[in-house]
Amino acid sequence: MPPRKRSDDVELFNRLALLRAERGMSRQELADSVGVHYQTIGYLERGEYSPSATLALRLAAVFGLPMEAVFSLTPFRALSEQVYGTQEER
Amino acid sequence: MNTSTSTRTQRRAARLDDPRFETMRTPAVRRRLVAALIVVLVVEAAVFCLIDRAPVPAVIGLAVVILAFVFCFGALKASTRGVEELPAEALDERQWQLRGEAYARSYRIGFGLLTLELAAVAVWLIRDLPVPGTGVLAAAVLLPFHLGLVLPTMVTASSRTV
Repeated sequence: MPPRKRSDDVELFNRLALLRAERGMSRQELADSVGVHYQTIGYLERGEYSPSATLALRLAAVFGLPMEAVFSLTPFRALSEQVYGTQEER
Repeated sequence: MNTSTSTRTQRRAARLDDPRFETMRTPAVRRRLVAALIVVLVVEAAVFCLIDRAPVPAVIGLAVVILAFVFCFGALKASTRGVEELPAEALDERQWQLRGEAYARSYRIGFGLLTLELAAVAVWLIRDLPVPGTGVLAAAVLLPFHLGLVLPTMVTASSRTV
């Protein structure tokens, strides 16, 4: 199998920023609870870094959610859409 | 790793991550620091070339170069938070990955520069050019050493995501 180029990497979407804001946590607090640098949380939130499975599981555990509720290979629906539905649905 | 080494590592990591150095951590400042360090290395080479002709001014110049080198190198290390030098236990997985990429790039750049230097030596020998002075010989040995010392830091600082 030829080596995979980084440009071929699949984008990983996450809800970290939303969950962190919901729980009123700072980046530093979240970083301390999973043992990474606070900058890494910023890179994760912006989708500029994809975490290892271990880190993803740790982050999900901090929020008490399953990993697929925090990370996804497809974009998450906007919160407003989930609560009120789209115009077509209404 | 024993406790004292671990404490020293944590202290070093905390010093390099000091928020007082935050102004040095923007890409623009890091680029300027890398450029300044390159200038210092070029001036160092020039001073070594002059050492045979004017030893006293060259020694004074070298002292200034050493001071500038220490300042630029220290500032550059603070700007990268020492990602390239800290042991694995002081880094998280993203920083570890960043360090790996920086060392891989440094290896390629360093290998290219060393090849150029060896090519220059080969041309010098083939053309039977006169033996260079002590200063040039000292520069040929010391500059690759200094470059090897600073290259990982310079490459890390050039990275956008450090």
